[in-house]
Amino acid sequence: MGETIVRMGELAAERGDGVLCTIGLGSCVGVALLDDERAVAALAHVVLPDAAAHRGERAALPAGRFADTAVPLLVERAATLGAARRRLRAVLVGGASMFALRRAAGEPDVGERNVAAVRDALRRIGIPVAAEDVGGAHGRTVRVRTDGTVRVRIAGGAERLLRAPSAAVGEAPPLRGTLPPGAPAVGATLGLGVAR
Amino acid sequence: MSVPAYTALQRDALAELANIGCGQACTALGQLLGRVVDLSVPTVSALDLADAVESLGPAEEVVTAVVLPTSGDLEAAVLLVFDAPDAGRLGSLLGVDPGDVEMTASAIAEIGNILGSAYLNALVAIAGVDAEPAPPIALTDMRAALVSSALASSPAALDAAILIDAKLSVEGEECSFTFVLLAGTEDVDLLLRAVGLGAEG
Repeated sequence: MGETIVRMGELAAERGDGVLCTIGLGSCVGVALLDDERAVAALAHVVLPDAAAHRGERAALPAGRFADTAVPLLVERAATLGAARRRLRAVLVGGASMFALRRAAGEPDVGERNVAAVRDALRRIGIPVAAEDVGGAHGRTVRVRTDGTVRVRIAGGAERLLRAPSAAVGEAPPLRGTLPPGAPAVGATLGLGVAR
Repeated sequence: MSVPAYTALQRDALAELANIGCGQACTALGQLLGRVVDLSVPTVSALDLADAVESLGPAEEVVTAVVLPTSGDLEAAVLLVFDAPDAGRLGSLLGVDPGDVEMTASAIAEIGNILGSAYLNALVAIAGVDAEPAPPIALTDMRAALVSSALASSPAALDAAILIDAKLSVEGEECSFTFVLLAGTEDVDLLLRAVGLGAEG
């Protein structure tokens, strides 16, 4: 099974049997859109909230770099691969407070602003967030399978399940049972809404 | 991607600025450790963000990074990256038990502060710009998480990243680390103008 690395500011989509992976998200946010039934996954590596800040040419706007432009593009790419918009679910990972540089006291840092901007963009389009592992002050690696499984790993830790494929696919959620003891789903551990 | 192309002369000038800055940092570290510290020839690269992160080493490896942002006319940041064995050895040269993770991190933060400040002060003095280093932040995490977050908080995130990096090594010890100036194109233009090599003359 192939693994596609989505690097800083990039965006990729896949269908069938594949994995999209982003290594070492810090303040950046990995935004995945999933259609479990069609086995379509799309992943963006968002760096900043707002494309209005971009200094280069608009035509050269990096696909995944800004939250407000990356989210609609994810929907478009997933739809091109056959995903149904009403079935799309989002998973958010990252948005940590790493180096809180050049930040006036009380102002949210870039990680928090990224998460808020991604949520806004999803709300505008009407895509629900199925699971998330955001905030804190540590890096994360995320692996998104086209079947809808999302796994997260932190530095020095083991991979943990953040989201299992939706039960609507007609199969029992397979991976939860295969996890080693003491490695519960991240979303469940943190009390985050793992809707399915 | 709008990655700028610099002339050979401009690259040489930027490398020379880094060379002088790192030279000051070397002297400062040498005095602290009582050892000779060697400096590699700095390299200058203008890269897309993703390439910039990749150029600094394995993404998921756990490293310690110290970042010193500058405030004022120049909105660059100095990034020092130490892999775990080098951080331990550097700490032990200062008498810290390498097994003591907390003390090692604290020693690395202090070394980063001394080196980064020496570097930035030299750079600012030569370029004649009004900028000063802000307090350093030291973190240990995946390399890509640290480098990408430092980039995301810098003007480089808005266009392309200019990396000017050099390697410092302590003579007689298997100990070296990377010293990077992270800047956006506007900041590099400012530096180039200051030394009379700006694009606009």
